[in-house]
Amino acid sequence: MKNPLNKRIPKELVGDLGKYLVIFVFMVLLIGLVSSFKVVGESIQISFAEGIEKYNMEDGHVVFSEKIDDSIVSLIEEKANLTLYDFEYFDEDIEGTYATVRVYKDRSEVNTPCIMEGEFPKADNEIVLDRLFAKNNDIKIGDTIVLNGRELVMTGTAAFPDYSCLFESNSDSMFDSTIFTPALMTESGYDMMESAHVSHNYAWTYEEDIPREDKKTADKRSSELIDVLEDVLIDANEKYVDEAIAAGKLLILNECLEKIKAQGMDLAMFDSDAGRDMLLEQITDALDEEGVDLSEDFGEILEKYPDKEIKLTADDLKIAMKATQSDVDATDEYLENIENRMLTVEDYLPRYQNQAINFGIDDVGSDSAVVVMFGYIVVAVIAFVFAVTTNNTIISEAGVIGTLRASGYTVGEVIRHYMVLPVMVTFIAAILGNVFGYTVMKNAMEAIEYNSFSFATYRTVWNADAFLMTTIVPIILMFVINLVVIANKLKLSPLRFLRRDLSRRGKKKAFRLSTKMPILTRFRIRVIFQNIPNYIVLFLGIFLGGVLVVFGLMFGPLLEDYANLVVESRIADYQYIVTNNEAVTGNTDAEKFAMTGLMTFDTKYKEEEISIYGIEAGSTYVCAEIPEGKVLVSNILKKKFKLDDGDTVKLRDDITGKEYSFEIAGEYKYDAALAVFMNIDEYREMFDESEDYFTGYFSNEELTDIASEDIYTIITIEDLKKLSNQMKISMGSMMIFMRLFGVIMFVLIMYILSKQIIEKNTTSIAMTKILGFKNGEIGSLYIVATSVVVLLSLLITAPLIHGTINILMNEYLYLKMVGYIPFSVDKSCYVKMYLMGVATYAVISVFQLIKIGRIPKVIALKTLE
Amino acid sequence: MSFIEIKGIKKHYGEGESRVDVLNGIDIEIEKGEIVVLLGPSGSGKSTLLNIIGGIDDADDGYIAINGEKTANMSEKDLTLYRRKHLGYVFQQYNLIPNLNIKENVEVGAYLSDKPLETDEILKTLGLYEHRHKLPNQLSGGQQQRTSIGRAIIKNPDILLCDEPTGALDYKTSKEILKLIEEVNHKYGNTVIMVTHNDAIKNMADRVIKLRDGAIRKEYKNETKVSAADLDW
Repeated sequence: MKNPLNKRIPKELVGDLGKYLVIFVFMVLLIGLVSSFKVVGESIQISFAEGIEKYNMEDGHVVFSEKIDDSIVSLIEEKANLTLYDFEYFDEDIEGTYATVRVYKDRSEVNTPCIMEGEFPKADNEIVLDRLFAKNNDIKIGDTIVLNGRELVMTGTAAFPDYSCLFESNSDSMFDSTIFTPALMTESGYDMMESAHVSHNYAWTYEEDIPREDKKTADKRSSELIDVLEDVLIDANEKYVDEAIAAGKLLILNECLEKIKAQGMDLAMFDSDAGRDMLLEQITDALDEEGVDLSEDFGEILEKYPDKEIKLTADDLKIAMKATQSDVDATDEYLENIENRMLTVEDYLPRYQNQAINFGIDDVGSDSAVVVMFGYIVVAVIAFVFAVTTNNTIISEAGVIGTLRASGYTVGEVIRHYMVLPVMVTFIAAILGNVFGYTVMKNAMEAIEYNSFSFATYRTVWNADAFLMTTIVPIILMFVINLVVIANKLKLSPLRFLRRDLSRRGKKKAFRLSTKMPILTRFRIRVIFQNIPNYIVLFLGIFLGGVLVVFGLMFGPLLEDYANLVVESRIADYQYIVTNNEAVTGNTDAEKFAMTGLMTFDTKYKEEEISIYGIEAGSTYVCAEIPEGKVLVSNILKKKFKLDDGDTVKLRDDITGKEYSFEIAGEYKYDAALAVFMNIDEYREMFDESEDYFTGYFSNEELTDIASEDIYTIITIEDLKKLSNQMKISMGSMMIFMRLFGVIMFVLIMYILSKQIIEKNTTSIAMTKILGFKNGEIGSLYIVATSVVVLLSLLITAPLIHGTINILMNEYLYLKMVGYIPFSVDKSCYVKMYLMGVATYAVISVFQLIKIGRIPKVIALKTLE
Repeated sequence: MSFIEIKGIKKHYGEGESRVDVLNGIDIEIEKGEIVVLLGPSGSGKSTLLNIIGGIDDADDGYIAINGEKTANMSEKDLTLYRRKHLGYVFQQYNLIPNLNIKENVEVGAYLSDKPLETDEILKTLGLYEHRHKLPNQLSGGQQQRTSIGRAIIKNPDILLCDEPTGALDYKTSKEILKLIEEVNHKYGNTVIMVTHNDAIKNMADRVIKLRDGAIRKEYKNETKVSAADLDW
């Protein structure tokens, strides 16, 4: 025979439909959110992994100073066991904007794009842009953009596999999908653009597959390739070395001859073969004693060619003796510029270090542990809500339970009976939540990810782990929490139930309240104390809901403030980074500085680049006294890494692996970047640079007299705002979700628990009605008591919410994010949260007031208990 | 050997100054099929004794043996099984499950037995058949108490324990309930132990035990037993 108590379950469900429906809907949404988050994240990751082969994603790329010969290509391919693709591109700004478009010549063999909308370009005036960039800039198919004076029509949008995250440069602290996009044109269209900003980029793919997570192998292969490139460059540049030696001979001999002339000797006396031999011998002896003094650059070049030596001959001397001053000057210039003409590597980036490829995919799903944990916490709160309401049911049904137990029902049977509904509701909600997660919510979650990153299309992959985590675990949580609470209550003896004596603390004595208080006030206070467990869960729910609401509200003002801070604390309106020390300006507003990037290696934090600035003494842009041998650090560097004056920061050169230490003397207010400021002379010494070395200019005016080829990049105010702009875009949808869930949490907790309090006191309410109290007065007794708790909870939780979010930011977000956004919560967020909570409760209390009005007086007469 | 043997049962509540000795050594022997009425004023210990017999309260000393099986030796689990197998309970407060109908409430008792009686037959016997689809709050107090009797007897227990079964009922309804208990006893041969403070009820008993201050003041076989229908008070 089936347990007849089971027949009660659907009746119980229908009888308390409001409670179960609210919980059910919330759990479906919650589980849907968690499930869709995991499914979308993991599906994208799987599709990304598949895309490595599908789109023939590069294993890295290298930019040479010029186009390389096919023979060099073949040599590199052979020596490094890889395939090298000509992957040339140029960068041009869209006219009238700050946005940079990186147009690739040919993507048919490597990093093939995935067209997301429209079609690939066919005509020479057609272009395909990144989907996210086009969306963020409201560029639609058929719209035109102007690049390098040419009008181009956008025929489609695409996802470029090597730019799932729109980092313009790998050294950028944050990407900005509003101001940079890769693009594709036809090959002839590309050629017609005649851009002056061409990069001779070559992508490579290894013959073997290296899994993304196998960084060790990727690093080893990368080191091998670096060795190969070095060898190839040495070979390729050998002809320049011979030319340099010839030029060097002329300069050496000319210098010696000048010295001889300065001693008053006439060179004509050495004009014979014998005379020149004698003179050459003397010069050679002198040079052997002093060593050959060559320019630093030339010396470095020669060091790479140990078999090359400078042998002076009589013919060299003959040429030198005939050389005019203009010949010498030209040779001098030739020698100085010889390095510029040599084949060099301008940029080298293996895939495993490429932020544009890895940042997005690393980020997607990386928060899944937090989201799942958030889901579990909310399920736990709901489980407690269930437990508290079931507890109240047990109290009200004590007599029945006592009779059942006295009749022979086991504790287990009774526990099972009371646990069926919470577990069943959770089970169905988990199944439906997963269905919801794989359908509607998946689209919403996909929109969040695709608002941040430029992923190619993906296929949804059934995820057994996600299903288990979003189905089994919530059911277990619900089961265990309810079991503990319910079993604890039901293990009392049948007699205690029959006597309705369910208190574990013995007979409670009524605490005294001052009789000076009006009776209604005392009544309300007693209602509050009678419902302490309900109110504890209510407080917990308001706190959790509050965290979600405030978190969802805070980022708008926070990012706004941060953008303002960045602009206010900027060093200069423009930071010009130049390609060589010949880039000079006559603008008096400009001030030289040196800068490089070093990496952090504190494993607690995500590895990131710190800007090291060398500042001139008496700088007008960085107005601070930097003590000798010490550095100032930007205020946000100090805050993020919790540094103090006197601490030593250790950073590492990512390429050479060399470690550098900086002793902190103080902080400099600069909110735009994690930066170290040191005296430029100490900078030059530390990084073995020449006495006049610099990397760029600070300027509040645009520098128009520096040739564009001498400018590597210009950091403008817009660049400084990248982090906040990107976060605004990528976090926008998630923040709406957070707010929504917070408010639903408010509704859930406030509705169920205030309802419980009314239901628990049905008999008393009926009795007060019999005594002559009006519905409004009764409402003021029971609803005002809960209102006081709600309003106080909303107030008290504010500092707790602030502290919790602060901890979350410090212990989680800052460890995971690159850069730093100072934590602050605008007071208006708390006011809004408070108003949302009050408004929610106001609506709910109207329902409760109606409920009170519907309680019949006869209940008090019929109920024997 | 008697069917129910109660020996030296002692029970107290509280300690020190607030200590109350509720039962001071009770010895009773009850035969199978007997109707035994435990009579006494409030605080005499009759309900406590009933609860100890029912295995829902412990004795400080002494033992209860049913068919020679001592309840004091039983674990909590065994006690539950003992109640499940041998006992039916009827309380002054009916303790029906409010959202189950009358038939379902009776079935709650049937579920506990391997060989329950026929539900519809019981409902007919109790005069509840027409009301079987109603919820408890749609019935009178007497009808609700009949339902609770139905729930207790449907598993055909060896012992029916009734704690003031008419305490909340009017004269007429009380008599109907007492008649029903008597009918059940005749029909199914259960041993009935009924606690009451209504002196008139003793007349329907086979044996009467009067308690006061936790001790048996009088115990006798009722030679002048009358039908419940003939009771008057």
